[in-house]
Amino acid sequence: MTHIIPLANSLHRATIDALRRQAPFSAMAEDELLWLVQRLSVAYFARDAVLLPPADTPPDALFIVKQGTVAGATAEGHTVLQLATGEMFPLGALLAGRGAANRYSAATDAFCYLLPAADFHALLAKSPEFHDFCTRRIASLLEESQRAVQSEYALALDDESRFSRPLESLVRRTPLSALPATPLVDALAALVAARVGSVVVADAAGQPLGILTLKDVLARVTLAGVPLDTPISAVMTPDPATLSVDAPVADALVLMARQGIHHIPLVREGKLVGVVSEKDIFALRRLSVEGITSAIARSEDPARLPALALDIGDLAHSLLAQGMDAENLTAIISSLNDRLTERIIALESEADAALAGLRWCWLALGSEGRMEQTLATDQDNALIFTEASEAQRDALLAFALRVNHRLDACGFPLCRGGIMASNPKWCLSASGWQQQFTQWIDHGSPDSLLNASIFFDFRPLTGDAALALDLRAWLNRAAQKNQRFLHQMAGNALRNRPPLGLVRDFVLSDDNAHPRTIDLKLNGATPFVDAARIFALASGSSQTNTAKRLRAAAPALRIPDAELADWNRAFHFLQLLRLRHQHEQQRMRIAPDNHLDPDTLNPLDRRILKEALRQARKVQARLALDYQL
Amino acid sequence: MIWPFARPALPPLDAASSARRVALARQEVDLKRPLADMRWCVVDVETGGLDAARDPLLAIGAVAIERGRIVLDASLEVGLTQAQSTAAANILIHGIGGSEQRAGLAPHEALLDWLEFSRGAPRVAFHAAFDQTVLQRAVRAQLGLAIDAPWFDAAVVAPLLFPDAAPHCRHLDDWLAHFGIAVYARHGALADAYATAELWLILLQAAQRDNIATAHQLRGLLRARRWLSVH
Repeated sequence: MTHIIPLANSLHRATIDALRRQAPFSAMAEDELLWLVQRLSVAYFARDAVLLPPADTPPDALFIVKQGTVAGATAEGHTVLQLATGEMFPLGALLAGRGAANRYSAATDAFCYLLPAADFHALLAKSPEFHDFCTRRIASLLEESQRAVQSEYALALDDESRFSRPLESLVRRTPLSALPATPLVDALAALVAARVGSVVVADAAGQPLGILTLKDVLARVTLAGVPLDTPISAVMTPDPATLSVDAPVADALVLMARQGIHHIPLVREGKLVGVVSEKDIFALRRLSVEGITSAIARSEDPARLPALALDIGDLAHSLLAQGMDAENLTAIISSLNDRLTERIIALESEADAALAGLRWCWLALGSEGRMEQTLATDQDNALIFTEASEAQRDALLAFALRVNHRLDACGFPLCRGGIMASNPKWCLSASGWQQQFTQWIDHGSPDSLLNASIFFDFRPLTGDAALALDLRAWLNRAAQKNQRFLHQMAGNALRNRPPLGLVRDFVLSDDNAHPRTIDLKLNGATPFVDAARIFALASGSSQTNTAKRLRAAAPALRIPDAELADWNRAFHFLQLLRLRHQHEQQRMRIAPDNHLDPDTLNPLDRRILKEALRQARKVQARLALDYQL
Repeated sequence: MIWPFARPALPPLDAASSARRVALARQEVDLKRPLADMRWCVVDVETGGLDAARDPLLAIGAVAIERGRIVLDASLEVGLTQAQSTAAANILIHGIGGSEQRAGLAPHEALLDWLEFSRGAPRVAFHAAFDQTVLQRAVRAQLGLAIDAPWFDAAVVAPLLFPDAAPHCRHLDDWLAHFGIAVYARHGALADAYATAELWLILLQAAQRDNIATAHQLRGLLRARRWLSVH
């Protein structure tokens, strides 16, 4: 029912109607909207004018974009938000009563409605719809903190970054090329064999002279009835448009659109080095778990797997940008990396006759073993086998070395500590592993404890999983029997304290390589990982994933549900920060690491980080209590 | 100042209206405050025709700009009751039907509302001479007042600050289109006044960009320009 409100003049009514086109105003009652409109003022901002600078004090008004676009940028100048008609800012700062973290400026000439802060709070109290809309966004930040803050904007930026990277990143194979004199029959046969859409005609020096695409063949060869012994130069498109491999992907897109072409030869110093097709570019947008999984499964050529590893990274970035939570995201990264590793192992082992008849299992260790891989991850793996002759063991090592190098080519650097299946120390029989584990458990030296923390997270990846499962069962019994070992593990874990300071918010690293940072892995995530491992060993759980270990151990340890949930939220927030940090680094083409400067976080995330580190302390307190440390 | 006109006789005012009228007789407008701090009153009138000297005033729409922002709450939209409906021709332009013309406030009350709303503020309109003439005539006829408030014409200021756009922009619609300003109901007095106010916000920014700090300076510049174009 619409009732006419006598006080509303035509301007008020028109403003109400305009606001109503957007959420949450569309759901709000007429009298609440009138109340709102009567408190609004309208301001104009010329392009580039700053609407709201980052500040220490809470903003005095809510902005609602009336017309135009407003951009929000971080202190470093990265644009993280694009706000259009009907969108509001800075909600977080107003709700939390803190200064705005971002700098808001007009991306185009813009008109905004302004609502004084006091009226904003009054409206929150007045309108349940408005309240819900504003607070639910923030609640997700404050409480569960698993969503990327600027999800949709990050996604847009991510697309942007994909189109701004060099075309070289799309080159997956050496290009198909032919000399000008090549008879059509040979060129077309090569085209079919290579399953590509075009052949580039190049001179002996590799300089592109022309191009012939499958589409051209229909009109210029088949319908024209050209004999197949004709040289390709007679029917090719001469002087094709080319691009440097260093040019951004976007250039290719523009060129294709402008010239109506679908293939562009790529050159370096004038010489052909690749071809990019429209399909290659649009494939960038169609990354999916299923797509990558099936591409990996179909791949017969280990040389093509590194490109798929890049796709995994791209997918992870895009899922991160879409706001996927860290628990699922690290699980997806890990399982796609599993598929990739399995494929490499299959390709390398199937062809290897020396491995025939052997029972072996490839073990994933460390973060891969826990299914918690982030974007920066080196190799941690090992092999277990039943019985093998000296020659067979050598064959296993040689096979493992090939796999390790293939993995390296796929962007999983060789482990600097040598914890790899190709290391004879970590390619052991089942009884060899039991002896090794026994030694670590009994010895309890710092090295033993460190090894235990890596190896005891093992998980079968491919091969005969029973070998690994038996070893797990044996290990659980051995560890449970040895309280002294668990006690030492706990003591060792507690030496690594979360960096919460008394004076400042955080204790920052005085390490010269990474000044003023927090190591999110060592000081953030590891306390949870270590505690979960000890809880799992103590309770005989065979889980290796930190969250699952905590969940499995909670009943036996009588950890209240709420506390368990807080621990897992905190752990996943730290993992999310690591992923976001690494994502940002990779976008800037820096090798990803775990060293975060907390000053780069917005105040809200800083608060959550502090809370997460406090939870890490609580987990440690629980560990200290259990082991009377 | 109250002008002692003998003819035509002023309509009789009740006590309340008289008091309001007396309070409005004097007003000061300070043009030397910074542009950003000024209060402006942006106005548009609807009349029974295009003859400012004769055709009746039908409606007044006005919005206030305070500290560089249009204040939505403070907006004026009044219709003036008419003794008889005006010609059909103008109804086509303004869309005010005969019955609507007879609704609204008594003219003297509408004009008191207008004077109270605009009090102390320089007036802004597009083709301001027309609105100025109509309003001054009505105020004098109904209230016997001659208010000497400064008027600014957006149609003159806009070409001064945006000379590049000026050759393509003559009418209000041209300027609104140039700046992408939408009008929710063109030819409604308040809608046009509001659209003019958005235009005025842009012009105020541009003036400050050009180091014009006060309304006084802006007026000086306009006079110099007029002088240049006349001579």
